[in-house]
Amino acid sequence: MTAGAPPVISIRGLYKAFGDLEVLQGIDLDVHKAENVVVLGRSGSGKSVLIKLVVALLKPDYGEVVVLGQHVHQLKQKELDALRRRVGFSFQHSALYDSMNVSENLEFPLRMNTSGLSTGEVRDRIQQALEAVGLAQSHKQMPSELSGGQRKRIGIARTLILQPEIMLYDEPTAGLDPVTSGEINELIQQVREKFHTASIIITHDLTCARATGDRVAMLLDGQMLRVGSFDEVFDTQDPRITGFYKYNFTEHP
Amino acid sequence: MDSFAVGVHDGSAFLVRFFVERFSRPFHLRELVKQCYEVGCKSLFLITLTGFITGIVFTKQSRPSLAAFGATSWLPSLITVALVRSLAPLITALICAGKVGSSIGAELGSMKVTEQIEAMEVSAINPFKYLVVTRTTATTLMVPALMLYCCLVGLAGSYLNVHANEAASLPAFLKSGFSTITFRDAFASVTKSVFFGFSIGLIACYKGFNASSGTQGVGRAANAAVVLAMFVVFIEEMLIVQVITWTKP
Amino acid sequence: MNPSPNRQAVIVGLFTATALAILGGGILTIGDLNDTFTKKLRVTAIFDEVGGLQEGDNVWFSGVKVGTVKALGLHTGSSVRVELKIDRSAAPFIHSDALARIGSDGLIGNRIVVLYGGGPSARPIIDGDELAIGHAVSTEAIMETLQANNQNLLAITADLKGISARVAAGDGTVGKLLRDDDLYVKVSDTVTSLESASSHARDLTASLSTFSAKLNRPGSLPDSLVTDRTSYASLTSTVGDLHRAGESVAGAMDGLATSVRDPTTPVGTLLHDQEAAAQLKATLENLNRGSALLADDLEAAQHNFLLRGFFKKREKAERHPPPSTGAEPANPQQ
Repeated sequence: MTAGAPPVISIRGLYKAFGDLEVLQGIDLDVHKAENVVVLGRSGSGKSVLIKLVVALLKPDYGEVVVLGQHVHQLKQKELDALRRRVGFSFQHSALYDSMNVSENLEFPLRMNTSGLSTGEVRDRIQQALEAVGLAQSHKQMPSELSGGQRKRIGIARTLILQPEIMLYDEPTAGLDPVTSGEINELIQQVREKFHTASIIITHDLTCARATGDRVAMLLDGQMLRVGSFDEVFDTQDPRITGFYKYNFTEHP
Repeated sequence: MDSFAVGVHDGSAFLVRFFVERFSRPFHLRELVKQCYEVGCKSLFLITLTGFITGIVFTKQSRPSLAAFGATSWLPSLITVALVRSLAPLITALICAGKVGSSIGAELGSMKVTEQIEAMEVSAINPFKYLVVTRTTATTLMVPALMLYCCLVGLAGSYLNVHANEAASLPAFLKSGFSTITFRDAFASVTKSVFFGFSIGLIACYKGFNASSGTQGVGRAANAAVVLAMFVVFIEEMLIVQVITWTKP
Repeated sequence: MNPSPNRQAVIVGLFTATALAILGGGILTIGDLNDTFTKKLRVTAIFDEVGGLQEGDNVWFSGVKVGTVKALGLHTGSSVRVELKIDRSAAPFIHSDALARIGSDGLIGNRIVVLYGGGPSARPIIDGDELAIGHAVSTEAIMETLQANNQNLLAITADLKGISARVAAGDGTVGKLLRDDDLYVKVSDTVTSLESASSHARDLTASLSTFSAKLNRPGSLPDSLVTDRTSYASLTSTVGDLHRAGESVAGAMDGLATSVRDPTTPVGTLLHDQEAAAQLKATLENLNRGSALLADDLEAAQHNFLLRGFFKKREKAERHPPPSTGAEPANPQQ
């Protein structure tokens, strides 16, 4: 998009296999500042693997990932931790810490990563993050008492509290009803506007893709098949892509 | 057989990693205290109850054999030796393996399965340090403490029984009981318990940390943690007793 | 819900402190019983034989534990050098001329070293002293003395019997006695010696009674007595001797009584002699008391648990003839 400025995330020739299963077979992808890139793909096509490689939760077989100018897989643990603080990761099942209530969930990464914060500051930051996701009243609730949509929001708030520059969303609308999904899509947009984050959104939900994505990339058989705007990507007769579209929308928009 | 070798390799790597991470910052003291509370204080009732019952039952069951040759006056020393040297460390370890091992195994297993461990990692928090090191340290410290409680309460149970049947006074009971116990015994029991606690914690963490995905994986991790921990406790009991017998002057 | 982190810390702190207190208490108890924390001095004693004494066994003085056996090892020849650790607090009461012997603690109990004797004339023990060895008072030795006493008693009463038989016996002697003053004097002398003999017998039986009282005191007999066949046999024979002695005394008494009742006998004449009569009376009383004590002894011996079996067996044998071979006594429960 904005030519000139280097991409925030730059993926080149990424290859990853689990045993005989070649999940990613040479992926190239650039994400620029304040840009939402949606990666579409079928279940098991390795979408989640892609963003886990970005934060070095997994190691690639070949290829390189450059995030914020740093080669992720060549970093030492300390440098990697420093980089990870600048990247937010929203998990598919939110991954809230079951043993902690909502505000402890938010407090935990904050306390562990920033020293010398007063109790008041911590409280303010938690309040801000909760307000940003529209759940300012649920401090003392336990994760098990929250609905799926609320969990998602708290999960996002937990990553926002460290003020990340990059957000990675793994299936943000999976398992949510359409109304809640719409609210989450809105939240993703708000986050970008408020925090100017670059985002990769992994999904198979085309509504989500259309609502949040500036660019859409189609991941099929381990390769990025089509990259472009939503309409560009689906302007094709490739049955693998039209199959996607037909399930999500009963008629052409 | 291959999977066994892989297991041994991974387990050893886990063990080494524990010591590497144990002695580097941050120490997560607050979490350590919380885990000590969970492991120690919350098991206290169970351990003391079991110890008490063991003391009474063991005394009751030993009496007829000793009475057969008129040596009921040996009951206190028999019970004390049995409790201090073997029963208290073993009972404590087995109960902790069951209670603490399964809870740690299930907790870490479900954290693994629901990506909470990865969530920690991407928040730049070392989950090994935060979860494994604190929990293993807590069991290593608390199992010996629980063993001491178990000992005390077991002797109390035994004393009550001896007092009711032989009308022995407390000083007489203690004098007779402790006359056969040496520093070596006390030291050996505490050492044993330290090893037991460490193994229980590390094994439960290992099994939880490496739980396979799915809710089934959580159950399997908890189960495997208990089974392996109990097995290892017995192996260690045997080995440590051997070593201590060898070093006897 | 869990308590707050600060409360948790306090609870864990208390929990750990209590555990450490238990450990500390245990160690102190062990240390106290092993006397780890009291100052010691070392003395040695060389025994011919220690009967299974082990390191760590206790040392008693006047029945109080004053130390432990530190080490033992073979010394020159076949003797055993035993090193004892004695509490410093007990040292002023144990004198350097105290003796050591091996004893045992309870019926199946451990071996112990018993320190005894020693008087204030000698200085208290100091570090490095070597104690002399006293010989254990064995049951056999006691039994031997008892046997010798009984044989003496038997001889005396046999003499007594002979004398009184001769007094009671024939006319010739009576005539002699009536006529012969010398004989009278001799009789008088005999009676005197008889008196002293019977008082001797009384002393003997008194000491016998003390001894059998000791026998009856529970726990005073070392276990060896139970298993020692020789002692048992000598005990049995002793009792037999005692019986015979008793019979002799009774016979003598009878003879004397007959003699005294007959006014025509020289003894009747003797009755006029006030002094001789009183002597005779005293003699008889002594004899009476002696035989009463003897009866007591026998009674005591019967009650003594060691001999009870023997008496029971005898009683049984009197009641039933020995069972035919192989016939098991019927079990009352069947």
